[in-house]
Parts: sequence; C-alpha cells; structure tokens
Amino acid sequence: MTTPSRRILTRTVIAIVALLFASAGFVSLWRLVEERDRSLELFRAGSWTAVQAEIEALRLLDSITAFHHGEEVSHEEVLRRFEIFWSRIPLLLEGEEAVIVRQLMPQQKIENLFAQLPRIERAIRVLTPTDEAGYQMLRADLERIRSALHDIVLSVMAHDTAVENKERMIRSYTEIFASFMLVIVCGSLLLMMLLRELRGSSRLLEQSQQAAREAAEANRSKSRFLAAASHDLRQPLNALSLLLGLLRSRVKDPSSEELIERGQESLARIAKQLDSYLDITKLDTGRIPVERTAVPVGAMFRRLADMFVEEAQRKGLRLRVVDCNLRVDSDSFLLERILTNLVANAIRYTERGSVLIGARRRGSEIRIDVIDTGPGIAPEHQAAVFDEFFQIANPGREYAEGHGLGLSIVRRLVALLGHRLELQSTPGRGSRFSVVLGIADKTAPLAAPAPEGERKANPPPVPIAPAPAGDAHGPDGHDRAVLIIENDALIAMSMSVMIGELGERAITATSTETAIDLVTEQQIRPRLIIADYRLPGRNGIDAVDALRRLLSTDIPACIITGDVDPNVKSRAFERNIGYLSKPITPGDLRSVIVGTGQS
Amino acid sequence: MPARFWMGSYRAKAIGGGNAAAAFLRGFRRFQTLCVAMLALSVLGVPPGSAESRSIPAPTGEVILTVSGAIENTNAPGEARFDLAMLEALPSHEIVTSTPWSKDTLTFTGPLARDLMDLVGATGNTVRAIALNDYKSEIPLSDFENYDVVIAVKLNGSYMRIRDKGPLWIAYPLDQVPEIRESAPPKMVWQLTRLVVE
Repeated sequence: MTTPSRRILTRTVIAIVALLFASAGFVSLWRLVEERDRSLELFRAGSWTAVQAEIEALRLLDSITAFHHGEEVSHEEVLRRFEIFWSRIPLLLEGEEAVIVRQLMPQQKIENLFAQLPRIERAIRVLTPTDEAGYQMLRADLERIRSALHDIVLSVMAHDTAVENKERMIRSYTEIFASFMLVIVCGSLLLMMLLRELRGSSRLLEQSQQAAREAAEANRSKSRFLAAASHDLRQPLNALSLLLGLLRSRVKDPSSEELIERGQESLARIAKQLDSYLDITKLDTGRIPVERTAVPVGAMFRRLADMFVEEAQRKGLRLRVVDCNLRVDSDSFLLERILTNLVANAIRYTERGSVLIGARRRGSEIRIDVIDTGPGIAPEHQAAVFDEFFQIANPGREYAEGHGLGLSIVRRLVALLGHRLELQSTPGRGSRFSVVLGIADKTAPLAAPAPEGERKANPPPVPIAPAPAGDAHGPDGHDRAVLIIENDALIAMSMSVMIGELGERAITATSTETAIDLVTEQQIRPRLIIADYRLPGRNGIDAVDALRRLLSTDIPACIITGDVDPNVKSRAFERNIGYLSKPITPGDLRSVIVGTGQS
Repeated sequence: MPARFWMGSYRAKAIGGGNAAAAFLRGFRRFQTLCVAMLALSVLGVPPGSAESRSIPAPTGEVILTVSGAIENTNAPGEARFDLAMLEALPSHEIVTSTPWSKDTLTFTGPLARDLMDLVGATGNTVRAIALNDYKSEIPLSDFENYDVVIAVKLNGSYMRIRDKGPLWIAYPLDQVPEIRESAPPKMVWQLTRLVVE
C-alpha cells in the first residue's frame, strides 16, 4: 500500500535525484569548457613566450646586420637589443606562462640556449662593423638560437593539438565516465522507484481483483448454503405439514381444530418465507428459466385482486384494480411474482387508505403501477428498499410478515426480465412502485391461462401414466401398495400414515437398495412409487428407473424434491414421472393417489 | 604585450567573483585618500594647484625614465627626465612578493609611483607605461593611490641590468593585496623607460 506521505517522499527523492543529475551534467560540461579554455590559454601563453624570445632574437639579428652594414645603429643599441633578448630567456625557464614549454621541451634544450648567451655577449662586445668573420659567426650562432626557439614555438603549437588533446581527452573520458556512472546510478534509482510505484499499483489492482473473486466466491457459497439450508429445513417442514394435516383430519373438537389451523397457517408462512429465500438463491445463481409470452394484464390484475382482497379487507384498506386490456411481453409467472410482491408490500405497509393496481400506456411501453397511501419512503432510503433484509425502521411493526425480501426479489426479477423498476414516493403521502415493460407483439404466443400462484403446480402435478391393468397383482396381496422411498424416517412415517388415511397401503423403503430388495425378495408389486429425489447413493429418478426395469412395467411414479434444479423436473417429465415440491401437503399427496386411480 | 594581456584576462575570468569586493575596497581606499588629502589641505591651506611652481632639477646622470603628457612639473620641454639618482632621492619603498615570472620571491626597491606622480604634478587619469621593447600597458592613476606601487630601481638589492628586466620595473604588491593578484601582472612593466600621463 502506498500512503500519500510515502508517495510525496518518493516524488521528492525523484526530484532531488533529477536535480542532482542535471547539476552534475551542468558541472561536468562547465568543467570541460573551463578546462579547454585553460589549456588553450596555457598553450597560447607558452608559445607566445617562445615567440617573444624569437622576435627579440630577430630584432637582435636585425640590429647586428644594420650595425655591420654601417647603418645608424650604435654598438650600445646592439648591446641593448642583446640585453632585451637575454631578459626573455629566463622566462622560458621560470615564467608561469611558459610552463607548457617546460613540460614539452627537455630542460636541457632551454638551458643550452642559456649557456650560449655569454659567448654571444662576448662576440657582440668585440664586434666591429668591419669584422666580417666575427659577424658571420655571430649571425650563425644567433640563427641557431633563433631556430631553436622557433622549434620550441612549433612543437608547443603542434602539441597544442596532439598532447593536450590527449590530456584533455583523458580528462573528458574521466568526466564522461563519471557522468555515465551517475546516469546509470540515477537511472536505475529512478527505474527502481518507478517499478516500485507500478508494482504498488498493480498489487493494488491484484488485491481488488482478488477481493472481487473472494466476494463472488463468498456470494456463491452463500447461495449454496441457502439452498442447502432451505433443503434441510424443508425436510422437517414437510413432515410437519403432513402430520398437521393428518392431525386435523382426526381431530373432531372445533377448538382444537382451530389451533391446528393456526399451526398450519404458521407453517404455510414459514414455507412461503423459505420460498422467497430460495427464489433469491435461484435468481442469484441464474437458474430461473424465462418463458416470454404475451401476458394479458387485465387477467393478471383480477387474479391479484382475488388474491389480496381478503387481506386488504382485514386491514380496512380499499383495493382497487383498474382494468386493462393490453398484453405485455413478459413471463407471466415471474411478472405475477413481481406484482404479487409489490401488492403484498403495499398492503403490508399501508395502515389506511387504499392500494391501487393499474396500468398506463406510454408509447410502445406500458407502466404497471402499484400505488399506495402508505407512509412513503424518504429519498435517502429509496435505493436501499430493494436490498435484501432492508426494512425501514418501524418499532411498532413486528417481523411477522417477513424479512424484507420481497422487494429485493422484485428487483432481481425485473432485472432478469429486462424490465425497468420505478419508485416515486413522498414521505407521508404514499408510494408508487412501477414496472415499465414492453407491449406484446400481436403475434406473440398467448400465455397459458391463469397460472396458480405456485409454479410447482404448473404443469399439473401428477401427469402419471395410468397403471397397466391386471399386471401388477402380486401373489401375497402385496400388490396395489404404494411404495415410498424416503431416507428421512419422519417423513416416510408421516407419508405412510397419510396414505393409510386415504385408504391405501403404504410400504416404505429407506433407500433404492431396500426398495429393490422388497421387490425381488418379498415379491411386492407396487401400484405407485413415491420417491424422494435425494436418496443416498442414487437419486429418486434412478430408483424409479431401476424398479421399472425390474418389474418390466411403467409403474406410475412421483418424485418429491426440495431441489430447485429445473433439470430434475424435465428429467422426471421425460420419464413420465410425476413431480412434487417440498413441503408437500396432504392435498398434494391425495391428488397423487387419486390421480393414479385404483384400477 | 598580448601574452600578458591574455594571461591577465584568463585569470580575471577564472577569479571573477572577487571583483565586487575589490571595487569596494578600492572605493574605500579612494575615500580614505580623499579624507587625508582634505585634512592636509585644511591644515596647510595650500590650494591643489600649488605644486605647479615646483621645479624638478635636471638629470645629471644617464636618463633612465622620461615622464611626459599631462604633467605640470618638467625639467625638459614637455617632459620630466630622471636619472637613477633622482629616483633614488625619493623616499624608498620595498615590496617583497612572488611573481609569475620567477620561481623565487622577488624584492623590489624604489620610490612609490604616487610620489613620482606628485613630483611631476600628474593631472590625468591613466599612465601609459612603455618598455624598452615597446611593450605598453595602461595603468589607472588610481592604482598608485590605492596600492603602494613601486618604480623599482633595485631587484633583490641590486640594480637591474636590462637582461634582468631593468633598469626599472613597475612593481605591485601582489602577495600583500590578493585582490590584484590576477589583474596586476600585465601592468607590472619591466624594462620601463617611459611614462605618459593621459
């Protein structure tokens, strides 16, 4: 993690390094220029000192020649020229300006020059204009000295470009090398920092991705847990429902009957709540099949009115439905779930006034409204009401009506169907929940008539083939029994009691193997198999398959399952096996028994 | 000579930063000199131009220095000529310093340049110093006020032959005044023979 202060520090360091780098570059450049200037001056000064000496030598030569030819040059003048010339020589040996000369020329050579001066002085002193031999010798001597001086000038000048260049190059190389080192150090430092910054941000990205993955995984595991939990809960609920139904049919005392009815109502509510958990799970895991048809809105409204009129009356609310003859492009079952939830929600929260269900055409769309005169929702809560388990704080209200899952299911279903959800609400005035959806094509297939609240009843619960007549008679009167394959003893027991109530005989098996044993060893020929889907080892459908193969007949069969997997249902239908969702009620069981007939 | 000039310019370039301090010191010294001069005037009541009347004796020996130009006192038409004895008659001053021309420390002995200028009644701003070999250097007269510049007649206690860069050598106290270390050498004319005040 990169904290802001750390980032500031990093940037400061980068800035300082860059500044250092720039100044180092500038300094080295400046040093180079200065060095070049200095060496240039050194060579100029050095060669100039030699040139001066040579000039004085030439002047001396001039004056000697003039003296020899009897021109107006006195002997004193010649001597003075010699003196001036002499004064130049020590500068080559000692002067700061000639330092380069001493570096380049052997000391001996300059000292040689010096050694010749007294001899020349003597020659000048004794020189007379007529002394031809002395003149010629002096000239030759001086010419030698002059050319020696000229050599010095030339060699200094030549070295200017050769030796000093080399020296300068060495110096430059040192500086260039140092600069390179600096560049490398600074560059790598910068790179390191940059990489660290990058790594930091990529690590951040990775972390967030990891977090997202973990969240998704957590959500999936939550869904799995919910599915498993609701399945586990359904087992005892199933049994309880059956047992309560049984109890009610046995009890004749009206006051006890009412108690049992209350119990059944509570049970129904628990089942409903469980359904909504499951719905959320199904929606989250994307296992809800959507079947789009042209859904007639009017009919759906009427069903809603039938469904809620009683509840509204109980609360003293007016439930109004505005008729509508349009058809919408939706899934009739899921749309009804949406509207059911919305209306239930409206009635639940409205204390007085009315709840209105209506539809309004808006161009090619239709807006289905559920309007109430309830307390309304404050703007800050309007987005949150669609979240799971969100309930606006309301101390007076108990959780008897659920845990606020209704609207979150609505939100998911609307998203699944591609509809739009609108909420308009004023605190104290009421709310309008709307679903905006498309109007159906005239050619779209018509929805199946009036689905009955629960999809498990649609398609019809037990499309079971009629039992083949005469074939199933067992020798020991074991035929015509209902074989229950159920590993949960409580449910098995309650179902068998239930079936007994219906005047049938039930045989229970706790697993597929036990059932096969019953058929093969005890010669049982069941007229109907009721199997739980989740059995140890094999599933219910496999169990039915095995038994049918064993008996070589398509014995009517029914699968009971708490599973939400639509594949189970389709596989059951393929094999002409009935299908019941947990918790099953005595009524369900009865219709299965009766539906298969008693041939 | 250009060699010296280049040298000087090179050093000036290298030092650079010392100029401001040098200018300030020079200004301060000038101010000091002014104060001393005014004090002297008020005490003596002598007007500045009074030196005009002073006469310089004629040289008896070999003339080794000629001062010409904007001067008020002369001993020849338009110029003041000096032999060695006349120069040595002026109060003697000594400078011991290293120079760019020799490995050893040199001792210059001779009259102060400003005493010589007073003697000739110099009125200009600069002095052109000319050497035997025609080397010329422009020296501001203020240099003579600010520093104890010596017209050296002796080097290391001996009179100088021409081969020793004599007979006269303008000497600046290089070691004593670091600020002129780089700028003075081109003005230290040796084999001096003529001064022209301008």
